[in-house]
Amino acid sequence: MRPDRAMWATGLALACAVLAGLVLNLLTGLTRLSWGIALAIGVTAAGAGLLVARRRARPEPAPPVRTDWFRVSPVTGGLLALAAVLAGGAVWLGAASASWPRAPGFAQLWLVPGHGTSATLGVRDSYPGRHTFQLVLSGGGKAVGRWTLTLADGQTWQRTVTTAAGGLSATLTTPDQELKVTS
Amino acid sequence: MTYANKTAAAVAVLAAGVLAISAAYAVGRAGPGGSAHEAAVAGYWAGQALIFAAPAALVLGRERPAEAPAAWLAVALGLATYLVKYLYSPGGFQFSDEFLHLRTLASLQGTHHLFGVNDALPVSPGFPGIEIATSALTDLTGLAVFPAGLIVAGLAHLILTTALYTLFRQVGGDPRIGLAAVTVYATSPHFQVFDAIFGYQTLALAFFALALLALRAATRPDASRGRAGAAWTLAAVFAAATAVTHHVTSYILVGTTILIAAAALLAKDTRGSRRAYLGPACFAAGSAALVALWTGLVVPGTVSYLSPAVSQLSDGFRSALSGHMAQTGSTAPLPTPAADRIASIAVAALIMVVIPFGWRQVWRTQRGDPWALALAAGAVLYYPCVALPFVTADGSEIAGRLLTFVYIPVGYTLAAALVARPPAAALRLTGRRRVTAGLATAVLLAGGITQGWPPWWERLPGSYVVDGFESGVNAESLAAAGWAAATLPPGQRFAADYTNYILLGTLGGQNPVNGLTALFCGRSWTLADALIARKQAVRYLVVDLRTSQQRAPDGSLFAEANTCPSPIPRADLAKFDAVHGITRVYDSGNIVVYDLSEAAYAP
Repeated sequence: MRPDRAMWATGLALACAVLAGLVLNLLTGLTRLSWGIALAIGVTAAGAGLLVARRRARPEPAPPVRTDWFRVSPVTGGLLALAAVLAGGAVWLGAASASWPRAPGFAQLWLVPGHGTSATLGVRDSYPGRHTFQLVLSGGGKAVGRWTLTLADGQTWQRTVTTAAGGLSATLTTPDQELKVTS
Repeated sequence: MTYANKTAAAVAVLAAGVLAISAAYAVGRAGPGGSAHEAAVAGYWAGQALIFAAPAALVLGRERPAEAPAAWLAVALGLATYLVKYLYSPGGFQFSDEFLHLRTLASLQGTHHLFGVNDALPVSPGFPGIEIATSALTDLTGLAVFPAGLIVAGLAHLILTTALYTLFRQVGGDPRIGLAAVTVYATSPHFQVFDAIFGYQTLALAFFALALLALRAATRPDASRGRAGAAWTLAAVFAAATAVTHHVTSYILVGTTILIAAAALLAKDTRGSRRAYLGPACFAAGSAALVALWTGLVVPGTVSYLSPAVSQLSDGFRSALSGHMAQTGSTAPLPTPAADRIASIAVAALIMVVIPFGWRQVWRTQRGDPWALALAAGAVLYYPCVALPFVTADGSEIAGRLLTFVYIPVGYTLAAALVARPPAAALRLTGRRRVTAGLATAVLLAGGITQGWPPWWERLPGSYVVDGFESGVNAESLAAAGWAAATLPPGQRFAADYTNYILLGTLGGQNPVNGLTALFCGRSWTLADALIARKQAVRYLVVDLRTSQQRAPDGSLFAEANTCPSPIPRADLAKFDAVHGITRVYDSGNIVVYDLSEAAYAP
């Protein structure tokens, strides 16, 4: 197999996909169904074109025998297998190290005004493992709500609250700091 | 040792280089400082040296490389350099420009239609090539966006490498010069990373190279009518694909083919051949018409997007001619390590010195070939690229972007100078020429990496650097953007530092506003700040408290040049808590979001 043939085939497939996408955008939009139909039409047209081209092609003299093609001997195969193992090891190490925990973690606290007098109070935990948080909602100088939240990494707690005349404030005590929001 | 075995051994060396870099990245992520980090940096450089030693050894060996092994080694070089980029962030996209294109892709997948809104990069939806190809792959295979984007960008990178090898090999008439030229090109500053990211230029470069190859096939004097017709069809398809995928690449395609047509008029062998110059001239005219139509009818905003850079360049050159050099911003970047500065200067000096030798070689052996002449002539553009950083404030960035294209003729011209061309010296290189070429490759590699991407402070991933591009993106910043996407209506106008500006404008689906650094600087909230916020209709303001702890490595904590100190004094960032009507709606410890909607001046 010659790399330039694969290059032309792949490049043409990508270019046709881009140009087909422009056409689909005008016709139906770029949906799974429309891409499926476009692919079927493309494959059929390419196959038919190839058959016609082969039939029309004049018989050509046999190509000269190439003496410099890549012959895969056991040694060559072994070296290529070694290359594959090294590259595979590199990819594995990259993927494994990317998932190592790097930061101690954090929490998110928000109090976002909604419609009328309502607001959304939310907490999301991004500390590794499960943690317990103390959440206090205050309005008019006194606490109007207290929650003890035990959340896992990635878990969200959210509820709608009613805003007070003087505004609300919420304080979240996390394992290593205190977060504060106001409305 | 047979040639096949030598090539397979070269591929194994190349893979060992990738493994060394992966190990260095892993140490970077583990986060040790001191000698372990220094060892990891050394491992990174050793890995790079191994990757480029493999093709260099084949090029500089006693025997001339055979056709197939040279071609496959070029492919392996493309694959290895793509793995270097992939291994930098194997868990997801992390480069700023990748986030910009993710927003365009998200718009396409959300609406199933093109040309949506991208507040972070408004011109991107008008050049949707890479997003179309990725969305086709996700729709047809069910793959997630990240692997699909990796596949499309990776294929584009491999196509570019293989197409350039094929072009250089055809023009040079020898696999040795083809492999030498593509190896030199692979040392260009942006080849390994920036030109391999999930971005529109990555795919456009592949189409650009294929369009040139197809044009060459179409204008060959010995091409049969059928083959010429097929090649013209391919050239048209790739030119159209380039025009709809990336603006600058399509302009450079037009310019390149004009240069080839001009060279055909002058070349000794083609001076009387109309096919040789009319072909490229017609292609250039057709491509220019396509580009003009696409820009005029679909993306007229391209002109206003590119015009600041163009006027900055022209102003800079005018000032330089009158004896004034570029002014840098008022906030200084962190000092670049001495070794990086030396490597950058050495590579520029080397290329500038060697190019004339390449010209001499091409003139002596290929003055009849318009493509060789055009490649040699194009190398002259390297000289103004070296001057750009002294001419305009953003000269280094503009030069870096241009070098992606300028290194194509530079690669060929340097290869002609270093390796020569058959039948004369190429079949048997002298020992002195081999040593010189080997040292030159080392300088090219070191200079390419130090001038390229990622910059020195984040050459190994893992450490957090405030507003340090990829190293400024961490879980807390991503979480803030995710919160904005999930909680706020899309398109809200935000003021933010660079990293949060990019993430909120892309993953967050919001509309960050440029030019608001004045809001962050100063001990108190002034009437001027209030007026700026009102004029720009700013709804939310993001304070990243880490901007008060570290200096921005490139001198600016924001997306635009500014006079804000770096780091920003903590008291400047704390002022918003005391302003009546500004509420604190989000807090994650380091990142706080303020709502300006109830302030008297806010919308």
